[in-house]
Amino acid sequence: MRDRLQELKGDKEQMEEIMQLNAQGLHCPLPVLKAKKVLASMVVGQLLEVSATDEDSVRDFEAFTRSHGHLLLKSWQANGVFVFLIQKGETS
Amino acid sequence: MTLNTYERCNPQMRGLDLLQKIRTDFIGIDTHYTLATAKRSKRHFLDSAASTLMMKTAQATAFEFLNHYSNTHSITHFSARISTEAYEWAHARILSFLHADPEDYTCIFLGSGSTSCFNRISKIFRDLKPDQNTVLISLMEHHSNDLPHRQHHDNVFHIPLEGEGRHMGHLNMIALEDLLQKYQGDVSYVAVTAASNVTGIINPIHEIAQLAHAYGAYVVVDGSQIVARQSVNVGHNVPHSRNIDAFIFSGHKVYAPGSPGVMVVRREVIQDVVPTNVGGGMVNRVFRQSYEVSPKLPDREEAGTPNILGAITLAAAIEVLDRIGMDIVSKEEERLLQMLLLGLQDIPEAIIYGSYDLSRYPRVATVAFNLAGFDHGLLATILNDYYNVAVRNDCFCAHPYVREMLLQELWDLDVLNDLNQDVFDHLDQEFIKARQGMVRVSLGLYTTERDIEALLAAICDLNSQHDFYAQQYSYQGNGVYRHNEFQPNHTSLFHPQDVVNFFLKNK
Ligand SMILES: Cc1ncc(COP(=O)(O)O)c(C=O)c1O
Repeated sequence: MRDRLQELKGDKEQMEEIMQLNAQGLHCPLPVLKAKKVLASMVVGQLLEVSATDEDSVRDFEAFTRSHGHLLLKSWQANGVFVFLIQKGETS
Repeated sequence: MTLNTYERCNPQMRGLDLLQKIRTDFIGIDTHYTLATAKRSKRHFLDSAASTLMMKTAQATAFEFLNHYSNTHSITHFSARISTEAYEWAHARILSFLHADPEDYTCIFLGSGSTSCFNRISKIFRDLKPDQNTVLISLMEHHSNDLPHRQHHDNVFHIPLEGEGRHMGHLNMIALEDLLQKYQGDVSYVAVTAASNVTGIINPIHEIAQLAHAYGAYVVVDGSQIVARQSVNVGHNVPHSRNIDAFIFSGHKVYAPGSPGVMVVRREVIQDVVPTNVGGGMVNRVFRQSYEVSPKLPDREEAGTPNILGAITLAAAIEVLDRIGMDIVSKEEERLLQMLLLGLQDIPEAIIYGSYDLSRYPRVATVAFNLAGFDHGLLATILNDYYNVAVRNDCFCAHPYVREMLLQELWDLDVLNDLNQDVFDHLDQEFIKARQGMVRVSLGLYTTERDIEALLAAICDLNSQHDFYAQQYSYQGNGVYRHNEFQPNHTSLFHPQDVVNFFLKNK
């Protein structure tokens, strides 16, 4: 029981940390594959911010999050960099 | 050799009879190679979508013509007149084959394949409609019907296809209309392939033309994969809005290696556009400071000495196709295509790309697939080295289309690291490159059931011996595999100098 509580506390701390992934300069499918790897180490509900320069990543992250049960909360573009804010879902 | 003499040679033969008769009349149909097993066997050539073998009748026509060969820019002597007439016949022959009225259309020979024509047409439209700077192309285009438009226009948008991922079908007409509406007034033209060089899936080009014309856009059709396989009607459709404004293909895909690229284009589109290639043969008068471009088509677009021999070879091949009848050609192909698709569907590890519901999405006889557990480069190399089956692999110059079909499979891969670090990224990129591609099988007039059976048997055989084959090869990077021991010296099989030596020795 104590262990479980500790685990939940740890999860909560981890949950609050927004993970960052710099996928700039990489081309499809690498930005998504790297994001997939980071997402695997995260807890459900935690946030990941990915930055990428490949234009295809806009469509790719939409499709990937949809098909892999994550939530694409927000995406925006600034100075040629695309940023995606993803919340880890249950199903992955 | 003129059309009349040629007709006298073999006046009766038509249809399926003619097809059966010439089926084995292709150069290279009997080519043998020694394999990794040390056995010598006949090649199964299943790479016709890249380039076809040469039709012997076309080669014979070219050979005969060489007795009269002369530059078409010479005009007086016998040979010059024969050459000029034969070259003009080649233009006319292609127009009539494609149902394009010479009053409305002209046929232009350019470069060594369709790529030169796409570059030219893109520039023509840029000059004709400088204020319309948007081009719509389908997601399934070959790079040659994509990059030239990007070079000459500010905006090129890809029209999505029906369906998703590996099950995609032809161009999505609703998406096309949405784009035409969204960019109304800015769309110069829509450029689509008649059939994909990856999956063979056919686009409804006349419906596309009708829709594009309703929005004031022209239509360019890439006919590279359809001309040798199905009947094409460029300019005799009802209503006229279904006609094609520019139709482009490569002669080397129509049983005539060494022949030029072909553009059949509406005269109205091209008549007043200033040619980009200038030189001999396209001017009326030249002064020290100025020159007067000939108004005559196709001359004004064919600067310099044309590929006379290639054009005549191509027109001769087309003459034969026309005598067989394209309906018969396509029916024969469909029979073999069904056999191939059914055979592949019987192999559980085979993944076929593009919808293969032929009633909904008809295709020409081209199929791209992968075999679970084998990288595309490894599979194609084993098929070659052990089974003498010649296929193409990789992305077939259609990266956006291939990537879209592979996306879900690629997302299932596991990369080495989650950080952006050059050394790992390089390894990851190599790892992906080996898996980012397919193997493509494509048929031609000379393909037989035996070729398809050999391919299917080879796939089953190698599939049951994965570990053995995997051990025989090393990965070379860039998607390429090489056998550890079997590395034949290709120049010992053919080298131009050896042939020269042979002929000179026998002088
Ligand atoms: C559909 C398609 N379009 C264009 C091309 C380019 O033709 P070429 O290389 O002869 O210029 C090809 C050749 O592979 C093709 O298959």
